[in-house]
Amino acid sequence: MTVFQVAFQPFGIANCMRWRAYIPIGCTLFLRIVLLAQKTTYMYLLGSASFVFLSLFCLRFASWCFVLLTSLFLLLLSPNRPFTKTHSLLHHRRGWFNALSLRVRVHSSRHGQIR
Amino acid sequence: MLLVCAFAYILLDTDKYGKIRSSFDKRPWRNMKSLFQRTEEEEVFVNFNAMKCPFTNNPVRGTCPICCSLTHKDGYYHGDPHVLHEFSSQIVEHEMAKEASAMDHKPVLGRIQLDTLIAYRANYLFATLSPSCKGCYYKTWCWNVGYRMTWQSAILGFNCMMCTYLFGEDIQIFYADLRAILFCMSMFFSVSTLYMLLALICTSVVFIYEHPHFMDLDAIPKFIDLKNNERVRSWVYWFADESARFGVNPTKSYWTVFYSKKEKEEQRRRR
Repeated sequence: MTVFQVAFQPFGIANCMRWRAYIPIGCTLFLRIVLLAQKTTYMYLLGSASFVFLSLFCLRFASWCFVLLTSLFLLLLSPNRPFTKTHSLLHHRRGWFNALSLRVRVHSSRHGQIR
Repeated sequence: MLLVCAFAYILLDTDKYGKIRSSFDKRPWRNMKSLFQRTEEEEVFVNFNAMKCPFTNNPVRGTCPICCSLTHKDGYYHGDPHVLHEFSSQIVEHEMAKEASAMDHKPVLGRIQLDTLIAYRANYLFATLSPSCKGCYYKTWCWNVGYRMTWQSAILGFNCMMCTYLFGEDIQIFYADLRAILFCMSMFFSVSTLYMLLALICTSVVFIYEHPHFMDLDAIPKFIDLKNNERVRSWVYWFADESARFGVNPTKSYWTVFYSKKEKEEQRRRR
């Protein structure tokens, strides 16, 4: 399925973005040129400098995001959570059950009885 | 980029920012009752000539198969080419289909509606959707098809990035090493995930903002001040789908090679 998605999803992405598909294509082409350029060329130096700058910026940003995401996940999983709706989706126990499930084998006389 | 997307996914699940998403749930643009609802009178007579399309304010011409709203042809999404749409398309409205199959007061109508809802499909690879009204189109597009496609892209981008650590530079494919190819693929999927997610959020915001007579304006977060802040407004409108504006037809255009002879004839008739 992953191979299938890798093969076909870019067409779907292009269908969504239309002419703005040049944004991911441009970024990818730039990366490709930099990655495959000889290490003495101007393009390699320019690309690697920009990537070093970007990665420094992104690392700083990513660390902040990581802290925020971790704290959000901890909040979601904590017992005194603020996002009750999400939490209830994660921990469904079907507390309203008042009859046995159909999958449970029961004696015929007790079938349909409310406990 | 993927971290930003993950952050946005979590925010969209909260009560505060999730309103952008949940304001579409009840299909507030409806101008007709759903077929599932029990009505006292057997027949509902409506003066169609007096009714206006909620998306264009023009006289109504047809009915949405999903929400039964009456719309003008410019307030209707006319679908995508069959060749793209039929390839691995999936049912979208499972819950409504279940409701239709359980409709006991009008079983024949329920059966017809069930068939219609089963025929309403989405393609999560090529980003196509079956015909419906503009509201149902943006509801499904922004918060089902497009949203799931961003998830898929995020997973693919992450997988490709992880694989760069697995494969060395010594594996050559075509003209480049596998590691470089995977790195480029990761870049493509990550950038497109971020862009698509921004585009979906902005499209929803613009749709809500442009249709204030039925959409809830409180669903737009306060910091997105479209009324007073010109810079925010221009950015949001740049990212959003141009057809989300009031009165614009949302149907996408394709190269003619994608359309069959029958479809081309249908398009000509519609014009």
